[in-house]
Amino acid sequence: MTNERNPYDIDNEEYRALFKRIEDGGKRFAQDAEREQNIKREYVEDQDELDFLDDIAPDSVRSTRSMPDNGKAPQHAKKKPNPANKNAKSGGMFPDLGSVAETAKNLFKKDASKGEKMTAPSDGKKASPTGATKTAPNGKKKVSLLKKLYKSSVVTFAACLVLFGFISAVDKNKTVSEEENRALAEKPKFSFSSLFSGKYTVEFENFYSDNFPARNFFISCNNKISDVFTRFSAGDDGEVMISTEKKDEDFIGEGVDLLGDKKKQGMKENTAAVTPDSEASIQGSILIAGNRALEIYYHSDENAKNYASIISKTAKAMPEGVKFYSMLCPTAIEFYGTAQYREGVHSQRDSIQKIYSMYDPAVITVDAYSNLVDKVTDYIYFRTDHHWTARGAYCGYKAFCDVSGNTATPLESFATHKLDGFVGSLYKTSQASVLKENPDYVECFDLSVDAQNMVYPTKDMISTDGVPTYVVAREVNDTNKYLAFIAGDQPLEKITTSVKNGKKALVIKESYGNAFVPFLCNNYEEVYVTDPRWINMNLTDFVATNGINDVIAVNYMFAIGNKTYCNALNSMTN
Amino acid sequence: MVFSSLFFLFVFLPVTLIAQHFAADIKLKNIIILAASLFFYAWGEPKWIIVMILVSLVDYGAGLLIDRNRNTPIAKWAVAGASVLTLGALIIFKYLNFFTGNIDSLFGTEIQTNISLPIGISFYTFQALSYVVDVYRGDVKCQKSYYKLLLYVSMFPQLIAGPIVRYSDIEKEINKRKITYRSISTGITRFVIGLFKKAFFANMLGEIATTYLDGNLSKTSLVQAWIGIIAYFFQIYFDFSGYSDMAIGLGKMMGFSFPENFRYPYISKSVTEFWRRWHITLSSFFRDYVYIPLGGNRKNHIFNLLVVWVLTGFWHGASWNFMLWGFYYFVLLVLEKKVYGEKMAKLPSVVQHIYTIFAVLIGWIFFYFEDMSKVGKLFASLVGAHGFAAAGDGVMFKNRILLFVVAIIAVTPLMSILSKKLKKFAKRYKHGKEIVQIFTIVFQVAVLFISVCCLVGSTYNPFLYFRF
Repeated sequence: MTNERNPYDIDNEEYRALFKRIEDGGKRFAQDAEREQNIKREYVEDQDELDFLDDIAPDSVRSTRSMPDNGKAPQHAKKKPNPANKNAKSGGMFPDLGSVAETAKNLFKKDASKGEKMTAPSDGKKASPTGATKTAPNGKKKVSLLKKLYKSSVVTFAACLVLFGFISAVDKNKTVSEEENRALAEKPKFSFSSLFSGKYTVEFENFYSDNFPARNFFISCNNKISDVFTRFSAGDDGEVMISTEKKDEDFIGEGVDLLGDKKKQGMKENTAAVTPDSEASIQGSILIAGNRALEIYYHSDENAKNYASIISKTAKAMPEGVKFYSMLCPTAIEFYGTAQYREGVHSQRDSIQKIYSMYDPAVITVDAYSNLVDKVTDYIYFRTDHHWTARGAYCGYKAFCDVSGNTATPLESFATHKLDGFVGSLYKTSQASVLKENPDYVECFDLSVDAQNMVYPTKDMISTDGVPTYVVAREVNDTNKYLAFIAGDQPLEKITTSVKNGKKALVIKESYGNAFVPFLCNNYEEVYVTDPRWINMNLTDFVATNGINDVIAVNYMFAIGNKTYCNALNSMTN
Repeated sequence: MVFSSLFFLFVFLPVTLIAQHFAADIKLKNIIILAASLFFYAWGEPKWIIVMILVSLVDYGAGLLIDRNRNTPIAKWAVAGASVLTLGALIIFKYLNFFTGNIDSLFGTEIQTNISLPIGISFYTFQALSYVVDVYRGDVKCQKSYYKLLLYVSMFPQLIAGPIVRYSDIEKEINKRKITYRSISTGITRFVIGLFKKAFFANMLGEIATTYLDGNLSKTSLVQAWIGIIAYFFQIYFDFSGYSDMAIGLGKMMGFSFPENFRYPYISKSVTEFWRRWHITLSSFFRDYVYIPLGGNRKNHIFNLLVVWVLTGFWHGASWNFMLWGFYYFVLLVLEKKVYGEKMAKLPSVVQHIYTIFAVLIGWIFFYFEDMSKVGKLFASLVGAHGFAAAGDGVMFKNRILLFVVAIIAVTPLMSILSKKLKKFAKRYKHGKEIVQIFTIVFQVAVLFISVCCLVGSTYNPFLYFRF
């Protein structure tokens, strides 16, 4: 009986043991809870895998962290909003950067006081274990450094956006982009009809991005990024291939603006074009080899046939006694590309031969190719532009003289001048910095005869419409220095020279003809130049009316596949 | 307006975020976000914004009706009516052209319609629909206030490209949101990562893909075809998940938590797993509102799968190729479930990864080309029917090798794991978190800067007097 104990009668020892068990259980429970919390947290982290920089720990966990021992009162985050938090939120837009910097100095000190998490800092102020925000000695409510940093992150981001947004709203004085050779988009005029059709907002966005502050800076930065990720090349001979997206209608040629709106006067609406399937698998690519840009050529039987028939048709349409010449000019890749870009489907030599063999006998062919091969070590092609140089064009001139019975004026007899700093079209499309760093120059051969050049918008050559211009310019105020030759692409030009031999020539060309024309001035009294894309006229009538003796069609190999040009040329004869 | 437009980034976004941040109370915040969302939508779709407003109105009304007439036939009629009207809007605006076109070619009639597709209609109709069904099922309370429901449907971060947010995801947040600088900062990080995915990866890779896949396919070499389709494989992930990241980040900045949409889908070991990681909100939508109501795997399992996957495919676009794409996945998933799934799981994981990537890669071919004859031509190119390599292919590939390398790294969780490790390491030090946060700020600004460079760079549009 005495051994039987009252279950409520517990002595001190047992009591303590029991209590300990309960306490342990409690601790275990707490540990379990914490573990569970951790699992949950990890789950959240998994959910949030992309937020790899986010601090996942919940606020409550973070709030027990202590501050560096720098004499400042510890600041603690709190879950519930309190006056201090409110203060943090509505306080100035910018955090106190000075204090951020000051405390940042202590950041790299390893936490040596792990055991003192809850102890007070040196000034004796009591740390609040509940995490309540304390008031610093000066009475100002303070926020923890971490919170400040969170805030600075938000403020920095907002500042970046607002700053640029603001600058873009006030800074609008550029209207032309020289780099891109185009006018920047203008602010669209508002109307409800354009708004509802969706046109207004599209145009507005274009206007906005075209006028973005420091646009050229960002573009050049992007260029640097591309150099690494899409134009990466190892080694000195590293080649870079750049694919370019081009639309046929973009290729309307470029000339000095002499005629203003009248330039389009003589044009006619482009008729529907046949679309031959391209022989190339991709639209077009530029190969950068060393500091030279080369455009890859693809032969197409269909294009060749089409071009040959147009030229034959034009030749047959010439009045009796008029001689018709065709000169096809290869491009630089034929001479400066490695073998793989010159063989098979890429061979311009084969292309030229095929086309020449398809011509009607009325066409007299001009072999510029062989002369260019001979001069391949000379500066006959630009490296940054798709054109040939005047020196290259001279090879064509010589070949023409050989078949036409003219005497070629020796190249050495011309005085020359140079236009420096020419970075051409292939740079503009490829944006390869190596081209910009190694600009071309334009070598001009001055005329040894007197010549007056008049530009006309229409075939009638009405004298009041005519605008005088140069044959070879002394200087060119444009990034496109190739405009030095006959003011670029114009509808119709008439050059009258001091060669009083009564001979008249007509050059039908795109821009490859521009460098060629000045040399003809030595052999003809009158040289007419026309660019089919800019004019609407009947060639047969024009040649007959003006008493022209020789007609020369000058084209480079890429013109053959160009619908705009071929259609324009086709429409000039019946 | 898209998130990757400069106007959005530097005008719309700061104005909206700052205005709603400093708004006095939640009601004003909601009104500001709603107004901004409507402006955002009207900017791109000034006419058809009315469809969105009406669809929300119908589903709002249906919700009220269901709520007042619980367990009566009226509730049933309401949910049915709202579904018909909501899906009707989707069908008319998205699929009518397709249907009439096919009827024309079958029967020689001339009823072809030409309706332009309103932006984001595939997303917001699903959201509105899920709300009505959830109310009917009693999963969520009906929203008594129209503007709040419209806010849910039209909220600009998820409006045009998902994720498909369920009403239950943000039900509470419409009335009460907890916003801290920390959560905003997290949102910013997420947003800039998404922007980077779009501006850097997707745009650069997209350029490669279109170069090869939009060219003359009967001349495309084996190398070109593979580079093209691999570039597209990456592009579509970066594009789509980038948009989702931006949406989630924007949501976070304003106090909303949107569901995850992508979880590294390209590291999947099976097609089944791929679809658990790819466009998660869409597959769970079809699971919850089509597959399970049809009977799931209890009855007509195969048929249910077929319906779900053809619909999933068709949802991506009104064209046969998308249905074929869905059907392709139906076949693969059935094969995995019934034929080789278990055997596959025993193979080395490398084999499983290669199988999955290959299967997905082939899938994207159906996805890319609406014209079936092009699919055939591309397959021919892929096996070398049009030559092994054209001149310059080697150079082309070499130039872009680094892009592909970083793209491969970026589709895996490698960076995420690394940063987590780094963070854990930093936590051992006093003020490790602060250092991490300083790094975060630098990271945010740097990534934003690079993205803006890419975006501005893509507006570089030289006038090409190139050829002449």
